[in-house]
Formats: sequence, C-alpha cells, structure tokens
Amino acid sequence: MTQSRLQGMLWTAASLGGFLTIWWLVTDGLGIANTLLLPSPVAVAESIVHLAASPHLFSGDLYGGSLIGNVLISLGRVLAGFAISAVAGIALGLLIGTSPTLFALSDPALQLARQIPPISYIPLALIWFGLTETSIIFIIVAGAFWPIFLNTVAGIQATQPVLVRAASTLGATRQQLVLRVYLASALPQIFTGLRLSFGLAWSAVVAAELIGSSAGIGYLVMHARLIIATPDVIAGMLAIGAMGVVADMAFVAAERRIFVYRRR
Amino acid sequence: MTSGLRLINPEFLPDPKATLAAMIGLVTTGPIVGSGAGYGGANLLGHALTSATRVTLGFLIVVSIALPLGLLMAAVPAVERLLNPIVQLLRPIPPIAWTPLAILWFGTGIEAVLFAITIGVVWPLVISTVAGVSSASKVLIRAAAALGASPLQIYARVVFPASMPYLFTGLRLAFGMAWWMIIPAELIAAEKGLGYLILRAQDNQNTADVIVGIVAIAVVGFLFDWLFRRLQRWRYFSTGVTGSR
Amino acid sequence: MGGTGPKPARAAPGDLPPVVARDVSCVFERRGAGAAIVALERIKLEVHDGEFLCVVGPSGCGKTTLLNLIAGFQQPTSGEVLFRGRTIKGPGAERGVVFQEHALFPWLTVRQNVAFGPTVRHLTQAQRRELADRYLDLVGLAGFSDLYPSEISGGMAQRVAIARALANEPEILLADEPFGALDVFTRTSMQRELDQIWQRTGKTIVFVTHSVEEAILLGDRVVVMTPHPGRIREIIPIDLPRPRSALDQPVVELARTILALLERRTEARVEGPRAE
Repeated sequence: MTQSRLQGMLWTAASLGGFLTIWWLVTDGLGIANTLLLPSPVAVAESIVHLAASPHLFSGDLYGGSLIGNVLISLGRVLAGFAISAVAGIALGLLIGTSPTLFALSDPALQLARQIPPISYIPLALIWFGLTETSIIFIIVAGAFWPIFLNTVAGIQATQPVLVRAASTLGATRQQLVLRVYLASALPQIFTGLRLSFGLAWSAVVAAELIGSSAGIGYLVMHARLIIATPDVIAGMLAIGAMGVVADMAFVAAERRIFVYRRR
Repeated sequence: MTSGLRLINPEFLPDPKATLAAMIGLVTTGPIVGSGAGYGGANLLGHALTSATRVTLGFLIVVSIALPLGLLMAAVPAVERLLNPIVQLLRPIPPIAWTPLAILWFGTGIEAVLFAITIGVVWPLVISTVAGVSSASKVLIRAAAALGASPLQIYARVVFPASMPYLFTGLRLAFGMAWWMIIPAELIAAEKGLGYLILRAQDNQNTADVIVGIVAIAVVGFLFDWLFRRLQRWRYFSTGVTGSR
Repeated sequence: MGGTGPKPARAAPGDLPPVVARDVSCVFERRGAGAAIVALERIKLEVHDGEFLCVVGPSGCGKTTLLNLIAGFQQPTSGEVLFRGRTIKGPGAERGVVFQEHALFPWLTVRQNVAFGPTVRHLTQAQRRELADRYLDLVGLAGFSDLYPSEISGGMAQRVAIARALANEPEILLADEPFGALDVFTRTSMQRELDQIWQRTGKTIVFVTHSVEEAILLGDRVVVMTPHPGRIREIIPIDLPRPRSALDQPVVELARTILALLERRTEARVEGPRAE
C-alpha cells in the first residue's frame, strides 16, 4: 500500500470517527438532543441490522418486508423505468441529433420541458393511472429520460465533422454514417447520460414511493416517519444512499472497461 | 385535436380550450395575491411567487453555507481531507429522502421545506465549488507567484476570478437542483406554492389545473435558468481560466 | 452526404481522364463586409492517370477549395468538375482522401480503421482482413494493428490514414496537406514513404501543400496557384529521377523559379492592377 493511500485512509477514518463521536455525544453521551428525533448512531446501527436481517423478504413485519426486500422492489421499478428511458432517449436523441431541422424545431419546447422536476408529474400520474406501478414507472421515466436524451443529442452534435467526411469518402451511406460514425462517436457521452439518468431514476422512485406507494424503500421511510421510528428513517436513508453509490460505481467500472480506447 | 373526436377520454387529456380557460382563470381571479377558488386562497401567480421566493431563500441559505465551506476546503487541504469523507457519505442521499426527517424535525411548513433544500443541495455545491477552485489554471498561479504575490493575494486575485465560470455553472446547477427539490417538498410539506397547487388539483381530479400547474413549474424553472445564463454573460463571471472568453 | 457505395473498376487505357476541371469558379459570399471572396477563378485543370500531381501556393490561393471540389465536399459556383467525364456530386469511394488531421476513428483499432471502407462496402470478413493487413504492411505498421489511435504517434496515425484510404482501392487519392501537422523529421520520412508507396501502387495522387520544396520532391507536375483571386499561375512538369532530395541542385533551382513566380504575382498586386 502506498504512503498516500495509507494517509488517505487514516484521514477518512479520523473524519468519520470524529463525526460518529460527535453524533454519539450529542445524543446518548450528553443527552443534548431529543433521541426520539435524533437517535444515536447505535440505535441507527441496531435498526439497520434488524431491518436487514428480517427473515421475510417481501411480506409481514412492519414495512411489508425487510430492508432488502423493499430495496429490491424499488430497484425493479428503477430498472424498468431506466430501460424505457434508455431506449426512448437514445432513439429520439439519434433522430433529433442527426437532423438540424428537427433540432431547431424542437429545441425551445424541449428546453422548457426539461425544467419540470419528475415529481411534478405525480398528480398527473395519479389521475391517469391511479396508485399503480405504472404511475411510479411513469414518474421515473419523466425524470430519467432527459439526461439520456440530452446527452445523446449533445454527443451526436459534437461529432467531429472531419470524421464524417472521412467516412463519406470511404463510401459510407447515410444510414451507415448515423450508426457507425455519429452514434459511435457519441457513445461515451451517451454513457454519461445513462449514468446520470440512473441516479435520477433512483431519486425519482424514492419520491414517488414517498408519496404514493405501499411498498419499496421510499414507502419504508415514509411509514417509519409516520410511526416516528426515527432510527428506521435514518437507516432507510442510508440504504437509499448506499444503493446510489453502488450503482454509480458499477457504471464507472463499466465505463472504464468499455471505453478502453480513451485510455490516453 | 383532442377536443373533436371522443377517442381520448377527456379525463386523460383535457380540452385545450378548457386548459387555457383554467390558466386564465387561475391567473386572473382576483388581484395578484387575491383569492383563488379552492386553492388555499391564492391564484397561479401567487403560488408561483411563493414557490419562487422559497427556492430563492433556500438557495441563498445553501450558498452562504456551501460557498465559504467549499472555498475553505479548497484553500486548506487539511480541512478538505477532514470534511470530504463526511460529504461523500451524505451526498448520495437524494434530497427528497431528507424530507421525512425534515418533517419529523420541523413539522410541515416552510422550515421543513427550507431544511430539505439546504441539506439536499449543499453537498453537490460544496463539491463543485472545490472542483471549480482546483480548475484554476496553474500557469496563472505561477505567473502571479513570480510577480511576487502572497498566497492570500493569489487566492483572492487570481484563483477566485479564474474559477468563476466553473463556480457560476455550479451555482446555476445548484439552483436547478433546489428548484427540483421545492416541488416535491411542497407536495409533501406545505400549504401553499405550486407543489401544493398541483396536489390539490389532483385531489379534485382536475386534470386541466394539474397541467397548468406543471406548465407553470416549467416556465418558472426556465425563467430562473435563463436569468442565470444572462448573468453568466457578465464579463466577471465568464472570464475564466485563460483570462479571456 | 453519403457515398456512392460499390467499388468502381480500375482505370483502363481509353478511359476519360480521372479529373477534369472546366472553367471552375468558386465564390464565397461574405455577410455584411461587402466584397465576396473569389476562392477560385476560372480554373482549368486535367489530371492524368498514374501521375503524382502537386498543388502549391500560399494561404488563400484556393488549393484546398480545389481539393474539396474534387473530393465532393463543396460544389463550384460555376463551371464543372468531372470525374471520368461525370459531374462530381458528392464524396465517393473512388476518390479517397487523406486529411491534415489524421481523422482516424478513435473508437476503432488501427486495423478496424483501415478496414472501414471495405466494411461499409460489405466485403466479406476475409476480404476485409486481407486488404487491411496488406495495406498496413505497405505502410510498415503491421505490428500495430490492435492499438487504438490514441496510443500511436502522429506520424504513425497519418500512415494509418494513408493505409485506410488506399485499402478502399480508390481510383485516385486526394491529400490535403497531410504532413502539415507533423514535425520536420517525421515529415521528411513520410515524404519518402509516400514516394515509395506511389511508385509501388501506381495510384493517381493529387497532393495539396503550401511547401514549395515538398511539391517539387514529390510531384510529376506542380500546379502553382496564386491568391486573390485563386488562379493557376503555371503548371510545371518535373522530370527529375526519384527519390529526390532537397539538397539536389535541380530541386533548388526549381524552388527558386516557383518562389519567383509567386513573388512576382505579389509584386503585381502591390503595384496595382495590371492586365494579365
């Protein structure tokens, strides 16, 4: 292990250790805070263990299932919404990115539409689809679509013109240009869009579940609040955060492996 | 297109005329902050202003915490090394996930909303501030040092202006995040504002009003973003790494 | 902007010349500032099969515009540019191009880049591989086939670009200052290599450069162009044996002659308009 890595780890340990110590002091140690509202780290840890180890994955218990079970439910929704967003985002992005006329026509409307936080669609979704899975997936797509779409368009528009010319002189047809040059050139940026989009999808599912669901990690957190089981609330929040980190790391690792040619 | 044929259930997509009438109705009922039928006593403009004010307030709070913190962290490596793990720990938690905790601590109302915005947006802003400062060109820093500037002078006169474009973009994005946060926060925790408006409209199964509300959200968000972009054209905010645009 | 698809047949005697420019003018309108830019004025040119034709001149003389017209990237404002008797409408596989920036596809390996032309023209896997290997061998890069463009030097990348253009077996090769971005040493060795490649393949080459010396070293004929407006000043045949060196006396003489041609034109411009 190199010296700087060791140093880094020591700093991290000191930092987190200090943070946890202060937290504990404020709650259990000196009793400054109301532990009903701000539980001690010990209580949160206990709650995590309890929730994670719950035997029933999807049923029974306080939250209709264990922590893992609820996370899986949320994850399933995210994957569904993400898949739809990816397909639609890349397809439409290709279409609009390769056609200057379409882009000019749609840009103003798109600039406006992307400002809408996906959560705002919840009431609309509730009217249209009621309290169903479709509602939740609709909200996820409403948010996750944009990073993929916008990054696809930007990536395609950033294709170096000389590469397009080179491919033309080698005999490529229009269709081949779109797939083999524009799309290929835009792939790294599209991938960034996918990564951002997944994060957004994760946020969106939590929001949707907080408001209108009876399962999933967002529901778990909301219900925990209702019964003032604050350690569970915090445990849920940490789980949400952890999932986001894991997903992002997976994307970064995949990016490094797929886009080998950018190494230098 | 949707009004002629009865192909699409009017509940799904309301008559555009009805939507337009609803929009006008919401805006014009009474004076600007007058009575709006069924929406807690304010018309569209009133709710929009409420949301806009809240987000601006929340944004100012976040900036006053995140900017100095980020600048400090960028200037003193020890501070950065100490605080960074905590930032990285709390950052992945999406702002929306803080809302239940916010309600527990502050009850429903503006405090909870402001807290949720602050705690949600502060981490990315700190990170982008630190990144922005680090992006200042080393060449410029060396040039200033060779001209005899002290470290503090370098920081204030070179690093800070040089990182402006990056910082400003970070601010603009943070505001966008705050705006994205205000709506769900209001959905859950408030009695006024655009988030509240669309939730009430949904309660009344009033699709036209929901769509109007959503459009209003988009427009306000767009206006804020446009404002930031205009500001960014101001020389001071856009002369960056190379000293010229 | 798409290609013409299938590979054209090799040139045979009796064929129309590969490129003919007839009374070609290219005028660019300028927004606001008034006078339009006459990039090319009434150009007449005929390229012969198998020759190495160099086009030289200072900035603004229209040499790149002329190449773009032959390549099909631009259309003339008046007159016509013909390829084997037919008007050029756009880029095509029969007119290969080597650009100044190597323009290699960064997401493909060296071999995949060279095989790009055969790939989009739907040759078989075996044919693609054979062509790619053959031309990589020709430019001396056989051992680097699996590297990415980001992993090789500028000179190597330009050689790959040449291999890529040649692997598509075009009828003529167009080169737009291909060695302009390279350092002097690499540039000299690339000139020698291109010379050898030309002698081995017998390909018709139209080569644009702003270096008078380079044009004389490589060309069978040198087209000297002058700017404002872009015109062909003179076409000078070069009969020297190859390989040529910049230190050879005849080369030096020719360089002097051509530079004088270019300077006289400039003088004429400074003194005032004079009937040509």
